[in-house]
Amino acid sequence: MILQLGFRNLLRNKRRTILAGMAVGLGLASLIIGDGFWKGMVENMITNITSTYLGHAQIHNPQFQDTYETEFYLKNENKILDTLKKQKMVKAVTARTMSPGMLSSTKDSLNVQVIGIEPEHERKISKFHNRMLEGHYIESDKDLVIGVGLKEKLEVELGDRIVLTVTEVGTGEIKQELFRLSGVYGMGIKEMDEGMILLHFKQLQKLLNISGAHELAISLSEEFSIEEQMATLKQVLPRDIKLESWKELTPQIVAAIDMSNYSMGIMSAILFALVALGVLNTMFMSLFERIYEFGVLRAVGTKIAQIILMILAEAFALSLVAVFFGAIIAIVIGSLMAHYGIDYSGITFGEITFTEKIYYIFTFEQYILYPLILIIFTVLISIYPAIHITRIRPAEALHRSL
Amino acid sequence: MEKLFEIKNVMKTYGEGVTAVHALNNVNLSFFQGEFSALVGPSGSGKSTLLNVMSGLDSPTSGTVILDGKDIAKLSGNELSEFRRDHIGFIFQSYNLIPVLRVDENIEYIMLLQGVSAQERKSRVKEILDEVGLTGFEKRLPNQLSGGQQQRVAIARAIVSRPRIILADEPTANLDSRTGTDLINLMAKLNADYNTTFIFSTHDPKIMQRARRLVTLEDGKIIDDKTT
Repeated sequence: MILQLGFRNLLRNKRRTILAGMAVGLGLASLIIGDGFWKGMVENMITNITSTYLGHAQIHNPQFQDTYETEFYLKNENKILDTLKKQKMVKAVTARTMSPGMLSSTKDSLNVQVIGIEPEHERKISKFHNRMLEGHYIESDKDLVIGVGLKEKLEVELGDRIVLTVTEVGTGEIKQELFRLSGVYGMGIKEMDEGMILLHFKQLQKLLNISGAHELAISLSEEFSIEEQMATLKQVLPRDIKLESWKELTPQIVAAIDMSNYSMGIMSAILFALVALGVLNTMFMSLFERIYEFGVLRAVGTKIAQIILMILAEAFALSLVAVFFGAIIAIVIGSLMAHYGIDYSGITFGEITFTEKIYYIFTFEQYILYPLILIIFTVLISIYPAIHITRIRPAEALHRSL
Repeated sequence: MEKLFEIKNVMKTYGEGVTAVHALNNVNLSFFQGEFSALVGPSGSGKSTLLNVMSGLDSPTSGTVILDGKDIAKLSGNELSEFRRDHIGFIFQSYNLIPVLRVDENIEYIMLLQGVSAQERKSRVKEILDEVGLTGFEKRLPNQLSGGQQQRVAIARAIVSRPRIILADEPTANLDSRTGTDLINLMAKLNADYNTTFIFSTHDPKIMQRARRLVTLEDGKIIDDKTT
């Protein structure tokens, strides 16, 4: 009956209970929505990193990563590719040749990063083919595709003549090749749109006079963790190469995500503090307006611990009301955000430029863990008003009604 | 007669220095089993304070209250709760029923604290409701009852565990004359039937007429104590 009393007390002032429940529930909903949105944002960032260009993992000559010198390329790339293709977790893999270069139009000359791609395989890793604004994607070794920013700087149009200058590996000789602009992409990422050009893999191999690749980009299965897959791959690949996951390749992004996780923790703490104040306010209001009852309960022999239990039961019931409202608000808003998404295109965060909408991600913990924390938190925070009430002398409490 | 209460040199002072108010000023008094007594006197004379001190709801500034041979100042908070639960029933001026509990639950509450079995509780609630004339009102909430009915429930709650002492603070003050008389008759009957001690704090002449002992207080002092 002590517990029943606690639950029934909550129903005395239904309007206040609903308003308090909604206020606390709103705090919970904010936490859940914030978490779902944040997870969506991280997911978007990871997808952005891994499927725009980087892939889930890359393989290089160990010295290439340190110096970016074109002479450090993978000479046994076909053997590595064969090994990778035999692994079930490898969804796609492509080889790239890379070199710094200079691109000249009749108007200007600019330094660029030249990437030689295998068009068919590259389609499965990066999104250049989807982001063609003009002309066409790389189809043959005569094609050259540049970013929209570079096109503006060089003041060139499709079909215009462009000269690419690179340094031949080994001899250091200057090599030049004339192309006609065959396509323009727009990735929405300034560094790529203004500084990266695409050639056919074999064309750049020929210009650099090399027989291997500088980079192998790998797309992995999403069923397993990246760490597990990396461990498996390391066991089957030669030891004289450097295999790195996207996390190792972009530590600054991982650091930004970690820092934001920390910020999310601080935001959660602030929200819980607000919830605590709401609960305290509601409990104190509710308890003080019927303080004489506690006097009666003490007078008829109710022990202090039983009164505390009754108040905590009331707080527990209030938290259930809050969870009900909070979950409904979060489900409705979360579903809308998951369906329609929020357009963050063009906004840069942690060196990542969002190119797609951010969609809310529902997780089990949002609707189990957070409500559970809220319930425990509400009950714990209510210990303070409960103890406060039991410290009032019974005679003083009774005096309010005598 | 068995001595129930022994109040020795009890002082209850509120405030300090020049603002100090002596709600009870060196009170010495004894009450015995089966008494039907009334504490009378003007408002602020210390009647309610004396009831509170006697029951341990408030502590005296000095002096001792011996209840059934025990110095209540030496009991812990929980021991006092248990002592009140098992030996003292309270009736208040404003009935003070628990609004969210039904009539039967209000009455049952103390027995629940005592650990009485559900079957026994139900049977005693039925019996007591019959005794106070409220059979059929079990499932009503207090706000669905008249003042007189609520006070009957309060009496039922006070006597259901058969305590030896009932402390009643102005029990008829909020009732009309006829209802007040009915309730006084009911309490007198319970006193006669079960030898339950009733100690009233009251201004009601009807209670004063029925009380067998009148203790008059003024400014916290006993100025008269007569048995009729």
